[in-house]
Amino acid sequence: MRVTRTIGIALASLFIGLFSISAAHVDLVCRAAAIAGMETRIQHVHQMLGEDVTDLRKIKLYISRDGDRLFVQSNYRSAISDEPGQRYEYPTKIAAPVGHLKDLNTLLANIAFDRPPDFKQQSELDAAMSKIEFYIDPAALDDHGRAPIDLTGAHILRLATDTMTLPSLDLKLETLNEPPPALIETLDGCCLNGRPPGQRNVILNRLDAYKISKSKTKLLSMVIDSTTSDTIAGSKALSAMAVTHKASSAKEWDAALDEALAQSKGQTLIALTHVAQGMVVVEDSKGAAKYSIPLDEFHARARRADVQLVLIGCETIKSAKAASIPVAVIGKYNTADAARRVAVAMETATTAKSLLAAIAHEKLEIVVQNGTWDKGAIGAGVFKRFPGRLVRVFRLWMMGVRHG
Amino acid sequence: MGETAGLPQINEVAAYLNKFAPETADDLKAKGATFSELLAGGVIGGEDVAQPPDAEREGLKARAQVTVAALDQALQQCGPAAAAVHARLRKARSLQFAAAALTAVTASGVIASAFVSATATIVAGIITLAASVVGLFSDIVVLGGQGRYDKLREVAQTLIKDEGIAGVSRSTLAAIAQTNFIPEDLKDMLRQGNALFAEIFQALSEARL
Repeated sequence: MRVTRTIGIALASLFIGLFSISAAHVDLVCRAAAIAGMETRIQHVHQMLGEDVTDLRKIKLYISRDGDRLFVQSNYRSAISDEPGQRYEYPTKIAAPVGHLKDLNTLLANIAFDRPPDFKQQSELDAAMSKIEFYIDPAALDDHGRAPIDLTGAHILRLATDTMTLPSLDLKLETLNEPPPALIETLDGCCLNGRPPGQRNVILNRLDAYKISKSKTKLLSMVIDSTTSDTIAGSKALSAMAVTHKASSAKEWDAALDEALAQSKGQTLIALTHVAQGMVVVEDSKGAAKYSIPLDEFHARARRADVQLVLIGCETIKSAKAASIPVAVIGKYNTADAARRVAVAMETATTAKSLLAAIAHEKLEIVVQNGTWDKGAIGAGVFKRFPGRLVRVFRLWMMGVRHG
Repeated sequence: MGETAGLPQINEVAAYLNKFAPETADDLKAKGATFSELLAGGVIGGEDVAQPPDAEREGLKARAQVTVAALDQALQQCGPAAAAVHARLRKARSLQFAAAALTAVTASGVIASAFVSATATIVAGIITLAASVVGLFSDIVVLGGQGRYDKLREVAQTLIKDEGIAGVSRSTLAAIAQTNFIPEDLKDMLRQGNALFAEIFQALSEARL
């Protein structure tokens, strides 16, 4: 790395975090004009972030990637520790291998100070945290919506590219099966979300293109509960959609699932389920498990049966492979409430968008994954083998036409 | 919802109270958010999380209180409901006997010998029609549908059995909830109680059809 202009100690390694001797993997904190090879980019981001500041509460941070490295650019000119009263001429920028900077506190300390902060400085930084604006580059997010640094603690989140801020309704951080949390974006109303952020229009267009009708939508309740059953039986729309069965044993439940999938071929199946530890579990009224199937297998069977599955289950967003499922649920939900929402939704829904927007509410937050609801799309992940693990490089979609 | 993380579900108890004893459900809900939540109906489609000991005991006591109140109601409802079902069965049997008797009269040849040919045909037709109407009345109006005689007999038996179990459960549960109970014991009783109410809910629903 070469720095075009140096003032004070304008180029340094992170004072917290790992430091590698390999030039390609070096951690770099730059308070000079630009990092060599990134001059144009840094200039664009500088214009996008606006004027430079020296007030911690007015910091804006742009978080992106430079290849396989985390790239962060701020609008903050930090003080020069060795020259009291003096500040660096240019805002701080950081480039480091993804994973080296573990959290926002470490990142901000490196942005704001050229030495590890003392107690007072750290307190000031902590106090400013709620005011600091984070501009996330959607291109830097993975399929789950995870940024190249853990954003836990960030309050003000926005989307931006190198040159402009992007419109988004609302961004939220959601903890998945393991940290760091993923970013999700509100698509409609309070509770219909999409991920990764930045795909709002693409996702909404797909949902709008997917037609829904009562006659081509089935409902499968996989919960044993009289209130839920009564709600379904009491609704003309739901009872017409419901796949009836008298399953009791595990084998019968499995057959009921197969039957529901067979009846829903080429259509939409809404499944009300109880999900625990990545499994759809049917529990009897004593709480004993009567049947269970891994969530991923459930979705795989639906795909094989050519069924567009809307699986409603608690916290399915935490499922390990939730990035490939059409609908994920945040938090816990009540089965009878969900049945009532589906009944109301089916009265007016003509597309997947209107269906999901009507089902979603404060106690049933839904996340739609980009790449799903693809008018009959068949998705396939393309993987690359790294030592000890497979990493999905991209997902391939083949389009068709489907009417649900 | 009938469920808080880490504690047994009483969703069927809640379903019973909301449908068959709504005033009791409302009285319990008026006691606070905990009870309102327990009586919301439906189940939470997610996994349980263990509760701290104090919260667990409080949660179990609240569930016991709701279940005891439901058992009190069930004790008042199951017996009369079973009696009503038995009455319907008796009425159905009488009507079916009447229908069978009318059919037998038509088939016996009595009408043919009592009337001239044309009149006999008309009278036989009327009696056959009456037998059919009585039979249908028995099935549809009295029993609530065709082929439900055996189902209702089973329902009546279930209600009588459940009334007995409810009596024992009510005394035991109320007594244990007042003591320094072992949580697992109370959990087990609540699970049994929830299963009992799943059965009572079904039986009362069938009895009212």
